[in-house]
Amino acid sequence: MALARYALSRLALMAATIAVLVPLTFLLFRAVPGDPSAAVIGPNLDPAVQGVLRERYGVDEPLAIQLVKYLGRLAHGDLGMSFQYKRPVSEILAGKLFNTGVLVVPAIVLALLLGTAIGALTAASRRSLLDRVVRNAAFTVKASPIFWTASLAVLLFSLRLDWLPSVGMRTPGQGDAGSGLAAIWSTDFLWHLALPLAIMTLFFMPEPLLTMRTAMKENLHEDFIELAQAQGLRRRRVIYWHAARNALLPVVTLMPALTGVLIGGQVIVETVFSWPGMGREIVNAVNTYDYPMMQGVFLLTGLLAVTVNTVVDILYAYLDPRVRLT
Amino acid sequence: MTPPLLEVRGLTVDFETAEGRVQALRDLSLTIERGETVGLIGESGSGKSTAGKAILRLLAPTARMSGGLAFQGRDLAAVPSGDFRKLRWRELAFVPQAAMNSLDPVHRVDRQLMEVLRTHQPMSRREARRRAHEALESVGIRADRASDYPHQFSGGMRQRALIAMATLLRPALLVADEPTTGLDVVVQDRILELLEKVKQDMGLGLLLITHDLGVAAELCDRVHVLRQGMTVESGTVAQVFGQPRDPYTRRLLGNAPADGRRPEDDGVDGESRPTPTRQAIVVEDVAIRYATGRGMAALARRHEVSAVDGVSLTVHEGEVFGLAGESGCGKSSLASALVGLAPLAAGSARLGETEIGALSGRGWRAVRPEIQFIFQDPFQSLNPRFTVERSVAEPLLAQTRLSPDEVREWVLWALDAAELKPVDRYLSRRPHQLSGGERQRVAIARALVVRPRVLLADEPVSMLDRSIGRDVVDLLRRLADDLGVAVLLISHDLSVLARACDRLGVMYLGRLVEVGPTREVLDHPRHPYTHALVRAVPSEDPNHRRPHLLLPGELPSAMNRPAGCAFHPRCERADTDDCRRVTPDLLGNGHRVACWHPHDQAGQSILPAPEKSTTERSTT
Repeated sequence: MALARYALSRLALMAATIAVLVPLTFLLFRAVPGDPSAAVIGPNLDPAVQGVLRERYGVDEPLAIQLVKYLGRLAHGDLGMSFQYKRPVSEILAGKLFNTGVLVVPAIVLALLLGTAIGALTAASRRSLLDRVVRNAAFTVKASPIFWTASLAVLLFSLRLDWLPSVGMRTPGQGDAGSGLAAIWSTDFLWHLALPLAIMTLFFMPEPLLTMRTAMKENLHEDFIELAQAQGLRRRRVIYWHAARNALLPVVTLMPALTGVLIGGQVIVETVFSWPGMGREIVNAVNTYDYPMMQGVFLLTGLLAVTVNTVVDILYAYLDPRVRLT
Repeated sequence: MTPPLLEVRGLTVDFETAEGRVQALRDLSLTIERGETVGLIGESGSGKSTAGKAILRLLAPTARMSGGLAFQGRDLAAVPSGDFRKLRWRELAFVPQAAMNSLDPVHRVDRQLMEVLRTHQPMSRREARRRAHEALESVGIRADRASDYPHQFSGGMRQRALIAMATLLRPALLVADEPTTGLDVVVQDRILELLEKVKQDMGLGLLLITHDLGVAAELCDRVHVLRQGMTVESGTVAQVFGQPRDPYTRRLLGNAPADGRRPEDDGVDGESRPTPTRQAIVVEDVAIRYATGRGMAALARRHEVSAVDGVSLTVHEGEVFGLAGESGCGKSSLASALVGLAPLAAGSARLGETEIGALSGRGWRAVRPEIQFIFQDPFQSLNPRFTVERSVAEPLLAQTRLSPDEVREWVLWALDAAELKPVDRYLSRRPHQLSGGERQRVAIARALVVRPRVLLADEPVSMLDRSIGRDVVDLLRRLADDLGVAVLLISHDLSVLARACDRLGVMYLGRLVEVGPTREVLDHPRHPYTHALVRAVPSEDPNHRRPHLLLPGELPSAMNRPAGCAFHPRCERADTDDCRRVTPDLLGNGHRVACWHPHDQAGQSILPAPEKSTTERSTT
């Protein structure tokens, strides 16, 4: 009951944050020096043409008017027309977002599950060799730049061994395998997904793994672990019901911080594997002063960050009864 | 002849450390029969906890153990770990110290009891819950609290839950490791009573590990005194406490009589000293409130908690004033306010001539050298990277403009006054090279170095071994006598206060309920609460058997303070409407009390101790 009230208050806070976030994403890009018309027609622009373009893009009006119009359109789900693609931003982003989602969501889920499981196992393991090997592997992965790991994987598995494709989401010429869920259920797609997914998973895994491992190691020295042992609880029960359950807390705390890492890694992996997702669109939009695209992309990432934080807050309150539910 | 319940023969434990082998326990031998309580007593590092863990097979993997352990005639060393797991809790149970983390913070208390039950006996969830609640009920935790999380319990409730847990399967042997350390006396009293009761009900053997001689004297039939892993003395309580043979035991017992009277004391306190005249601290009608709740709720008046309410007291120069009371009674809040860490909600506080209630941050800078604080934990209050010289010089560098030579001179003086001798041996040491007692002396030197008018010591010895703590308290007393500094000594331990204080104030839920000369208050307590507090202190004299007083109920939270006299729900004398409606004022001359029905001035209790809540303990 108290938890439900707490969740509601978190959601209210989330709404308030979004209310600040929306005008902020709009104003942020107006503050960037440069002009979208210059990006379209080049540096030797004719002032008359520029005026027409500025009018067409709606950037000739005062900032306040632009903001009000933007908010009004946003209320109808309209993110505006991309200057560059001449298509509605919402339409472009919907497709890209889907492509990114099918790569990122499984990668995060796998990384969290595998990371916490391996971290817990190695911390509780009485074989110190296993622990050392896993820990050093995690540090090595963490220390390697992702573009290097990704390129190396392409070199080995695609070019040398020719097991997996290195580019795109599906084999050219096989046509569009349909949209939505149908697209995911093609073996061709899964085959293309394997390598980038493995790289992304590997990229996310060290943080939860190492955090879990350290927290477990510390927890195993707690008094309640000693008491549980003295009570004759089975070792497996002591480790999972007591130690691992408590060690999950710092892993959950880590999740919002991982969101930033996620976006950075996503951009690189999509570039290396020519994956038609959001990551590359971000870079593209910024380079071409495509205001509506930028706003759309950053609004989405902002929403993602706010959502993750809210979910983590609620999850944390659920997992740790000591959190004050007010 | 049946073999003893537990027989320990020549138990020796070594630890492998980076510096080589460390012997933690050497050649311990003892036996415990059913229905018997055996005490292992000693200070920190004596190996008493190691012995308990060795019996329960809980030692770290780096430990090497030798010697014989036989449980009901069965050689425990020969029991493989799979079988030993089944022996655990069914036969050998354990009551740890009630520190916050003896219970898993993320699981409900009843769930943790159910877990134990279901590990050892196949039973339905429902049946396990019923038995868990029954066990908690038997230690006075009602069903509506049974499903709380550990952090929602008070220290005493946690300890009772741990005892309920330990006795779930009616074990044959119970090892209790410091079961009352860190608890207030009144709560401790209840735990001791409970341990005694489960021992008798279940006829189990109890191994009691404690540093508290009073607790050992009350509960044990026989004791073993350990020092640095060696047994220095053992025997019945009457032998060891009555005629201690070993000098170490004598030192532990202290040359003070059992009730903590100071040795050089010739009876009448207060009057025997020249009456000091200059007032160092005058607190008048002070209230301290804290906001609770978060966000906008914190701003509303009804979300305020009154930590201290209507407290007045005066401490003179050269006087040691003691403040007693259970945790949460507001004594530390008062101390915080006196050093400017908590704002006064009402009333006034004067330090010498300066009114400190209204001081600004800048104003505080000027008076700060006048009042200095000594913290509870000497392991955390010193910067581990500073040498002793640097730590003690710190306040001088911050608060004065002395030359380096003068700073050094003052530091040497302060260390000398704190009796860290020879001084030059300590100057360049760092905290990790010092013992707990030495660290606390460094903290005292650091407080003294600016030559304050007032020393505030909040539980300065509660983290130290008893004999070390006594020395530190005696030092504070001498500082008051020799330097004329006023000392406000805060402690929950009456024997500490009795040792050093001229006058004593007792607080309950934010109010002073009794004030007077120390001996007066302790020998003839007039407030029923003080009465309970004094009677709850375990006596180290094995011939003196006190009834367990068992103050009923829990200390209420300051958030819902009972109306009228806040003590009335737990008071055996509260009978009139006045008690329930009107807060009594602190009345009297010299020895003052805030109660509608105080005990007789002459000291003898008007009411006999009530029969129902009394448990006489049979002597061996």
